[in-house]
Amino acid sequence: MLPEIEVVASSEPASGSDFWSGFWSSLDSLIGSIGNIQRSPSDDPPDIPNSRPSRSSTRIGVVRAISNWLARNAGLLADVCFGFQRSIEWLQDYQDVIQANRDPPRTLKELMDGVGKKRPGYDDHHILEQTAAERWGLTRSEIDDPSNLVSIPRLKHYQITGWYAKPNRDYGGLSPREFLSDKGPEIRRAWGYAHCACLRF
Amino acid sequence: MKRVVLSDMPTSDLVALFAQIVVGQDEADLGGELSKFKRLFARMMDVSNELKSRTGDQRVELLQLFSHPNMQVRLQAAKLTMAVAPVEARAQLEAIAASKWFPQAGDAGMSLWNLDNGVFKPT
Repeated sequence: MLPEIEVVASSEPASGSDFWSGFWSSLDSLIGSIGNIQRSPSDDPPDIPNSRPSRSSTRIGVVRAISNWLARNAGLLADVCFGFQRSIEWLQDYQDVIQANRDPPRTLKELMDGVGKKRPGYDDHHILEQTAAERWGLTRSEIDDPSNLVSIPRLKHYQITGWYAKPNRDYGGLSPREFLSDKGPEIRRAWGYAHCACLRF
Repeated sequence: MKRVVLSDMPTSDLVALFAQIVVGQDEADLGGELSKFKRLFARMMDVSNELKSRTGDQRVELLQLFSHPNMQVRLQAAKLTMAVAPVEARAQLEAIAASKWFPQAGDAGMSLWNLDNGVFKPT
């Protein structure tokens, strides 16, 4: 039987002392594994389960893995993968978002022009987050002003939302949302535009 | 249960541990599991801080992860080596940003923007 391990940091872990339990089933798998972590980048198509995964997080993970892979690959293999995933019954509900994620990047004007058209697989995204904007006392019409809205693929929308919520080294371990909480609307808007450029919607 | 203290681990094992934690981050992110991601982020920082505390700031050993097959590992290694190897780390962020490998490409692009605008101050 493989040993369970507990790893102790010098400082009190933010996630609780029992976190490491079960994270690795074997210390042996860790020790000496450094020789195996340098390999050529692998970009094989993702595994696609035929049956619908019972866990929502697994389903989302599969859809994102497929979409991200298709977004960065082209050619015969991508066509085959795209065709194969279309034949999987449980993925039928996700075809619009997968296809939208494959669309080529658009200019900011094109993203703004797409607002309100309810294109399949796309969402309207507020560059200046709605909750923060309300806190600063912006009116509904200011929040929904065309200069603050872009139409982006739903999965990119999820990526932005996730990025704002995740702790980030750039902000001293705070999430961008926490970091920006005391910043004014103009700084926050600049962040939003920079993010649009970096994510290449 | 076997007890492992980070300060007792060889640097090479800490680097392997770092990579394993960040692969877990990637899986958590893919599945939208934010609380799991946050726990793993805290663990990653524990390992990074342990490396930083060692003579000569051993975070430089994370440079070997720049060729790791997992893009999240490359991204976090780049951010956490920015203070000890800024030229190499920036080149790595630029390569990730250009890779179209999302979401890491977007995160790397924002890191570069943060560096250029004085928001990200590596320590």
